[in-house]
Amino acid sequence: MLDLQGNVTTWNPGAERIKGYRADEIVGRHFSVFRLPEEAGEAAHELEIAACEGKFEGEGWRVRKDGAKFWARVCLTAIRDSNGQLVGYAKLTFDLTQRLLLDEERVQRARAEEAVRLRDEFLLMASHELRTPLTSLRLDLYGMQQDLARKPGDTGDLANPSSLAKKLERAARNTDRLIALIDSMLSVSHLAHGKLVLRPVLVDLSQVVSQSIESIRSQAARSSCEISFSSSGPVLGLWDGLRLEQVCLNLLANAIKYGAGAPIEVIVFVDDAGAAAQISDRGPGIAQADMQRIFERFGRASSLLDQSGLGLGLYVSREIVRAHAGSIEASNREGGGAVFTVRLPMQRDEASAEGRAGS
Amino acid sequence: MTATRSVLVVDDDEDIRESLIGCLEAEGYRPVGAANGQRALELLAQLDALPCLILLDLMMPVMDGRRFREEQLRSPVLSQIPVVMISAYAPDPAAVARDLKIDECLPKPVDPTVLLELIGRYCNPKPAD
Repeated sequence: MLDLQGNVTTWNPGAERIKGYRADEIVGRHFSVFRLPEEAGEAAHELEIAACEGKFEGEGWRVRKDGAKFWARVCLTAIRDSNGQLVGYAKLTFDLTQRLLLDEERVQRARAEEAVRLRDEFLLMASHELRTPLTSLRLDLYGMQQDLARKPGDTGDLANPSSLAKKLERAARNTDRLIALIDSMLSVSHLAHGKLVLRPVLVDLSQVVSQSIESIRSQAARSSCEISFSSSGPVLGLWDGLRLEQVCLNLLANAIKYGAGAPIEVIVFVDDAGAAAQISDRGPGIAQADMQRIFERFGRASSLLDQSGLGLGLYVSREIVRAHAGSIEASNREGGGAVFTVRLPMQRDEASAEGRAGS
Repeated sequence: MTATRSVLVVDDDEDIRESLIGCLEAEGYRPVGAANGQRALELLAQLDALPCLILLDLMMPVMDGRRFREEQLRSPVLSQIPVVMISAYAPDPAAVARDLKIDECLPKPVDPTVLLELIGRYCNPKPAD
């Protein structure tokens, strides 16, 4: 029991067991002694609630005599005399630490199981993705070996330089695909461990985007995608050009994958919010339910699971853009297709640098 | 068993398709490529002679390998063409193959000698003794 001020007036063996104080040690002391020092002020508030509403109930950390914390459910009930006059409070404390630990353990276990499930899914997907370029590479190497083994005079690809050139070109391309995949996996690993380091220098976003388009143009052509590009001129900022190129290539590769056979539009512009690059395709677009999920690690849209890919590109892109204090958004294009917009902040001196560059 | 030397290669990855076609051509086969199950069905409807074998990938856009196989099995004529499943993605590819009534299943990256030996079994049947 507590008096009107919150001082302990009576003490029972149950309270002694939970809090460790004997009656002679605690009777007369204020019940805020059971609170964490930084929360001691809350005790008066609890009394006010109990006085006004008849009862206060809550859960939180409390402190035993030996200083050990325990998770408690506390119930304070106002006691009134026959005239309705408030005379004190009955206080019940339950030690829920064990339950809390079990709950926490359950949450931790569920998190760990989810992490293992995601990792297994990722490994399965990664193995599929690595096997694809390896298949082509292995077949072409075998083909070239067979050509070399043919006796002089036999017809083979050595006598057909254009066919040999095609095999070599494919082998080189698939080696690049393997490297890009491994880079992408390493990026994810670095991001997961918070090791993404930016090297910002004065960079022209228009140039980064235009270079990315050039380096992916032959891949786009193979998928019959025409890429158009327009920009408002040089857009300068202190950014990590290589990382931004990685973002552009991810977004362009996505547009080519999902919007094969149709044009892709890319624009770079500056508005009040800063610099922006926008990539629009004419693929199937993104279901509303998938709009956020596609940026999560391994979060490829459920409707697109028959497409290959690690499902990492958008996650990596978002992390890079966020590290630049920017944002990346997906939306659907009027008339069909997806639009990805990357926004990067520009500092005032960068904006004036842009003015100088443009003049 | 059909004895033509035409082989239908169904895979959405253009490089894999082209590499397989190159490999088969060098061995004297007449390969034809399709980027998905739908395109493969269209080609089968157009070809003068049915291929001796279909090399089938599983994960493809538009129509995946599973749906293609289901369509193929519905046709009394097309269901006669043997299929070799070539896939990189499946926790248990052999189980998927059994489920789809496919006798042969090769994991990617395929071993070219194993693949050619297998194709030879279907497309160059040795005359019975």
